[in-house]
Amino acid sequence: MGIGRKPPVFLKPGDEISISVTGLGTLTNQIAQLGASNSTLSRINSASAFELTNATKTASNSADLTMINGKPIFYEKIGSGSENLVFAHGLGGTKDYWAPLISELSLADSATLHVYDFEGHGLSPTHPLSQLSIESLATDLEGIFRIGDISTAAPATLFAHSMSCLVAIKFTLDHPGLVKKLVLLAPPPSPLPEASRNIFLARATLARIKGMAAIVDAAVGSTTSDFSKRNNPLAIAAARLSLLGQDPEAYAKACHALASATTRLEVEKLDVDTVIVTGEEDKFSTPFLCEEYSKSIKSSRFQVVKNVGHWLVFEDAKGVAAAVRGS
Amino acid sequence: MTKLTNYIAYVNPETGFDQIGHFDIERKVIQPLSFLSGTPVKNLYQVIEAGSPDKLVAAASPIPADSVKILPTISGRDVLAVGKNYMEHAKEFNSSGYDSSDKVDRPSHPVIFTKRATSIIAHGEDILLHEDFTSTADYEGEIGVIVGKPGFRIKEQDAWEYVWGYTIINDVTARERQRDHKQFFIGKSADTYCPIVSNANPNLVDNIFLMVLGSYRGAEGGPPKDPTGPDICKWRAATGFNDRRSHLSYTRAPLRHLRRSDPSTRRCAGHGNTSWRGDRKEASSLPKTW
Repeated sequence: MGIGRKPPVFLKPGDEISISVTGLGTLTNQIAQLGASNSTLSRINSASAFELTNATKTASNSADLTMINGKPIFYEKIGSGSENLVFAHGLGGTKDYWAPLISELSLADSATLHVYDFEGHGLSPTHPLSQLSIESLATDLEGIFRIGDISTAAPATLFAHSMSCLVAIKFTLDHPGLVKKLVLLAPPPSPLPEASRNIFLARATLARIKGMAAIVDAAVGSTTSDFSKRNNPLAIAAARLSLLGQDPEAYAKACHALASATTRLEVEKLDVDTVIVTGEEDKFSTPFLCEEYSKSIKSSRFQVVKNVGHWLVFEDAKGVAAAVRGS
Repeated sequence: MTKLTNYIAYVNPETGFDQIGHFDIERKVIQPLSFLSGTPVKNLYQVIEAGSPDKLVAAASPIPADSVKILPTISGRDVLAVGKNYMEHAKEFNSSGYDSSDKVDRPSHPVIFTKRATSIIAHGEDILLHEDFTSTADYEGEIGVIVGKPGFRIKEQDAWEYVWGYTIINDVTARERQRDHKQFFIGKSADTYCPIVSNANPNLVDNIFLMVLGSYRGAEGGPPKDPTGPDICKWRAATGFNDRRSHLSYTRAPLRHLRRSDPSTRRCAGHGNTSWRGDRKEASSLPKTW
């Protein structure tokens, strides 16, 4: 103690104090210069009462994630061809939903592929304060185009499945010149009907209360074809794994985003080549609905894949590939 | 629509997770709250960090408050407290014979102490008497002031910017421990010695007067005894002695309020009173180990 000395000693900047204890070592600290920054305050200022949702699958917040619109997003660029292909998965999906189709069409051989998990899905985290919507996902898609160096000079072909079809349509309408071709697999109705809204809100609640296991049977059962259920257990397993791999809270947020898609998108204003493909047994994105979409889009083609439901790439990648090719 | 800002902490009976709702005092129901994203609000720290009630929305149907387990509105950190901060109470305490912190009624400097985070319990939970630790357990009603942001060298005139809201605290004290150990900490930090009500409200900030009513009912039953009657507390008294601004300003110096900690400031004379709050954590069982 300084007050034990004669005369007493009081600490001043630059002083060093060392305290040694046998067997424990030495504790050493210096008195900071006056006006030094307060590291305790910085530490407290940087602390947060929030934890990112769905952040535990990646080694750290930044390991494999790309900052897009201030959000860490799992994004991958595959291949180096001059053509740009961008893939947006649906609710309960991940970027790997596209793998069978990419393989069937040998897309990686000739084009640059941009695949990503949208906010909260797959390997992309989401912040509790971040609200998901068709609009927010379209803004993030714009971020993917930016990070992927896709400009009007070399516009992209945009593949979308299910919910992300709404995102892709909105993005294409809002950013003329960036998309030269749209491939819409199983687009939902726009605006979303009240009954569907309620289904997704109820699903969000159930996921939050009981987790993904509580929704997977209904979610896969009602969205895959009877044919797939009988003859294609691998497709059913893939769809189940895709859903069970989602974080329940993040999945619930995406359900809210879809349920909030009550603004009608002006699909008739789309002026890019559009291919619409859906499953014969898809009860959400029905062949009837898709045909109506196709009729209202100037330059479009519509094709139904037999014997499949809403998870059509998992259910019949070859069939979807043929439909996309137009053969 | 009324603002959903009377935040109550409870356990969501469906998920088993801690959650924040809005407490309708009249109807005794809890309106569960979520962020705009749909994510349920977990604790008051998140409410404070979110920064605006506009970021919170009602989610799901209201539930009766008596059907869920309610929690202290805020917990996990030590409570920073100011003792003897208004004259009547200072006199009362000094003349009780249990004040060994000073020889005069009015201290020259505010008495600052803490209550351990582990002493916090919820409304309705039992307070352990710790009969091997004390035979002079006492209660004091306090308005807990919740500090909403971190600060360092806060100027007295800026102190209000750091106040987020208010809650109710019972500053239970083992009086002979407070007296014998000189420092207040041990007498005020025994397990269960810091009941905090389940709700907190940021909208009392502009009230000039708050009423604090302290009462207790003896074990023998009968009507509640109210030794002091209702006390009207001047919320913004002009004197430094009774002014929370200066208390914030005092404690800021070396302690710096941890974000979202809750100093409670003592007010109103008599056994129905108020004290302060601050920081930090850890587990201990004071009466057993000390």
